[in-house]
Amino acid sequence: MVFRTSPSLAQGLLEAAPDGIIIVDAKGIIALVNAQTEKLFGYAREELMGQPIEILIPQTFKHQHVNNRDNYIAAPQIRPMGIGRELSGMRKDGSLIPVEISLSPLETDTGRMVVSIVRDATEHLRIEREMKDLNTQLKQNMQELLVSNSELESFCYSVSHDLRAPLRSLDGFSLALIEDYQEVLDDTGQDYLRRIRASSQHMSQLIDGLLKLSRITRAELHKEYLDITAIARKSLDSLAKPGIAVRMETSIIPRMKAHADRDLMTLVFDNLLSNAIKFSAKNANPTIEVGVQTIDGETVFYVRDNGAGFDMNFADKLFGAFQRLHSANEFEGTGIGLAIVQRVINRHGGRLWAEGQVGFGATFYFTLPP
Amino acid sequence: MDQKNIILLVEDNPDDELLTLRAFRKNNVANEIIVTRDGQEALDFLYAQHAYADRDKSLTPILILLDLKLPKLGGLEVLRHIRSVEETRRIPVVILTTSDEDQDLVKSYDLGANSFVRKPVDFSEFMESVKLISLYWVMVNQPPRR
Repeated sequence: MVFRTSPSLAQGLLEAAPDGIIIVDAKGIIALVNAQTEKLFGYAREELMGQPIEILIPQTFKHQHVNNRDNYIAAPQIRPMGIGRELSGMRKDGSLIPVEISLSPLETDTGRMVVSIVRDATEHLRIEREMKDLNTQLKQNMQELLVSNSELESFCYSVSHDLRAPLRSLDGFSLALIEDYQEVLDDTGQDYLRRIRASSQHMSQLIDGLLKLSRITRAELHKEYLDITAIARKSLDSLAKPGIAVRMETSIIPRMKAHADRDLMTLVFDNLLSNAIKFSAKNANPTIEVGVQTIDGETVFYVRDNGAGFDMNFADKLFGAFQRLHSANEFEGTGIGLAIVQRVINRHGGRLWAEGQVGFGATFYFTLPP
Repeated sequence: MDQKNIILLVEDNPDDELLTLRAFRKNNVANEIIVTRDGQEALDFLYAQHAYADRDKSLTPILILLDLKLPKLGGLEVLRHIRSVEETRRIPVVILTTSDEDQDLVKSYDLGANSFVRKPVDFSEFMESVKLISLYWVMVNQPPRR
């Protein structure tokens, strides 16, 4: 299909254009307007033809516009008008309308003319203002977050000093009493002191756990393309102590990959695997599996053991900080491990859940969005 | 008591002071241990000024055990000062602190600490640390004298 520039086609194009088209001569007199111009400015074209272009310019800018026009006609270029300024046109009823204007020269046999394309910028302006507001809000939120973060930093710093000092005194003087005043203290007395020591050491572990947890929230995430199999393997190797490794059967699906932070994922596997080892240690044939499967089109990683398991009725308590589903007599621990895993997975935008059966083992599933 | 090769302990917590001294005693460390309880007092001792003006200044400690969190002048400030004065800048300094914050670790080494030891809560572990510190820095290491 070939377009011929017949007058009727040219006219059709002009009238069909979605923006206002105004052609003025070298003296700024309107020579031609299209239908959209009439619509934008509220004039019938007969009212505009032969008029100076300034009829469409707001009062305050009329004078300056004449100068601008003269400058332009002397050295015309195709360019947007008034770059960086908010321009307004004036409608017939005197109301102002925000516009975007672009100009280009037109050489005709009657002389040099200027074509201007006028676009209604109302919507554009509204969107711009909305974006500016959102940006300001975002900057404010960022600022508040930075402040709160730095407050958290100093809080953690104080905790690591201030809370540990009294604990050391508790532990130290209890031991000093046991050692230096043996003859004066009977067995019960020494037992009481041993319990005091154990408590202060336990509290120290709790503080360490809390600090670890808060560090994960504060730490910067450096995501990279990771070999998950290698990370799980390395974690398992460092955890498995000589005696247990021999009895324990482990399987890790090869070539698993994910987009995640290396240190934090190491932490995830350290915690999940140390739990798996711990809770299946009493088993005759402990088995630990690390793998990946697709559930509903989603990639899901899992760590599975055949150990003590847990009661599914209490599944929602699993991931709370210091929450435990077993007594300290059965299995030692502070209950912070899973809270740490939860927080890491959360920071990656993933989900963590578990399934278990008392006496048959547990499986911990998690997702890592790409 | 070895009054020539003195050890300077800078520690503000009286419990920690007592426990550290006890640990040294239990490990048969014969050196005289001078205790200063804040950063300013430590400097006063080292440079024989104010309360310590009558001290024999030629007796520079063979080891300084420095806590970081001190009233008046903090541990890092004391360290910076010690390392900037000719007569004290080579004295071995062991930072003995509760903090396990990376920033403290890095800053201490940046300012010229020779060693960084974290005070464990478990006292038997602490005793072990003190034993090892005294074994190494008092018995094995050669102080930068004369």
